[in-house]
Amino acid sequence: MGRATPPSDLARLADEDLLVLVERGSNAAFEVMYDRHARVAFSLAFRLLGERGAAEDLVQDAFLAVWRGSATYAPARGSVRTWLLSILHNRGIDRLRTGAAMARRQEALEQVTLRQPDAPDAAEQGMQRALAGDVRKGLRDLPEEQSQVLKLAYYGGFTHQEISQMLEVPLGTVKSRMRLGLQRLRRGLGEPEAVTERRP
Amino acid sequence: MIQEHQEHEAARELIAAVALGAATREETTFVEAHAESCPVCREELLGLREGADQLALAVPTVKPSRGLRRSLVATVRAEAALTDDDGPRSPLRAWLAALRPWPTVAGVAVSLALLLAGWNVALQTREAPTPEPLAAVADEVVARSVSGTGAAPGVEGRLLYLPNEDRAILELSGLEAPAAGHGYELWVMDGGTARSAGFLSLEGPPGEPRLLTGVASRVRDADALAVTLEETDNTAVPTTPELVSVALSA
Repeated sequence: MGRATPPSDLARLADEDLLVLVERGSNAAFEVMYDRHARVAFSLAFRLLGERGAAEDLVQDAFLAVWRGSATYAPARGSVRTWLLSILHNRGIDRLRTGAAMARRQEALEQVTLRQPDAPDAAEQGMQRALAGDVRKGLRDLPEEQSQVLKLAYYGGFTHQEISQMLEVPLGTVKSRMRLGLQRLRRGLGEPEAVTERRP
Repeated sequence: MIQEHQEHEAARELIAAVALGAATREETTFVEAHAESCPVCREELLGLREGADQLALAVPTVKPSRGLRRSLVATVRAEAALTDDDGPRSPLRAWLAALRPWPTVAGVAVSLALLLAGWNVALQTREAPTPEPLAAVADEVVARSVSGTGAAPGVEGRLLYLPNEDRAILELSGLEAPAAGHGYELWVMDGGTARSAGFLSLEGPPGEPRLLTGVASRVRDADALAVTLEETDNTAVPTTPELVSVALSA
């Protein structure tokens, strides 16, 4: 049984315009938005939590927050996708930081490389895969110390203090590596720069 | 002036951690509040969040199940079903929005009695003034208002149950923000045992009283949902008195 095809005019709207309709109560606009971002959202949720059931709960939680809180979106704070993923990531980190998730966080420390999903979506083509590939390349091209800190923080849910203790690196150095790594990712740089870290 | 500079420098040091979600809740609140009035920090936070956004795109792709879409769409359609044709928001969503500005009250241990007013969110209206167990409502989405009793008057909210997904959504207002290292934990109570369904999360704009929401699965045969104030590293058993107790069966 296939899902209903959204109206073609809705599918052509930008996220920000869809969100306006969502704010007005359009579940059809919401469904278009879900179909557009569900895969990215679920992939991130699965990466964070490692279990399909938990990941689905997280995704549902995040999308319902968008549905009910669409009026709180502020364009000045980023794109709609960034907003959605930020909601999802924040809630995923909250779940990671519970006692039951400590083992998972330890796993994130031990495996700080990107993992393959259990069931790779071999049928996916196009921009999303190309974009992800570019970002993965960008991550690989980061200095190892920056990449490690970013992965521990973003995927593992560790705070900067925890990372400092785990890696036995000064807190200021951790913060510096976070900033430099994110700046590189934002600029999409693939080549090393002559950037020096602050030394304590 | 010196204090402002120190605050600015302190915020700048934390911006990357906030963008990554690697800061504490207090640090995040501090940085976001500072960024409201500092264009330099606001711009940097926005930029670094865009950088963090790339990390979300770098993970291997995993396709969500169709069941997830069905569950989510069912919830959204149920809420939207109350929309008037020319209304901007559904009455249910308007009610949710109306819950947000409710004044906060002292967080005190409470037992909530489930108010089964028979408010049915599905298309079929139902006149059912007497409570019904969730299991008896076969295919219809059920919404029930809940309210505080005993030690936490003023705590109110609603329970939304999706029988086809066997999933319950609980939304509450009137609970104070928990202290650092603590949170409101949702439990599924069944035959004397408690299963954690995670911590309630805040929804709503900063600076305003917010709704606490939680989702619990596999509740059809459970006795009740409960909420307690716990340390965030506890997911074993409730250790404090119930703040909310919602009976799930008659």
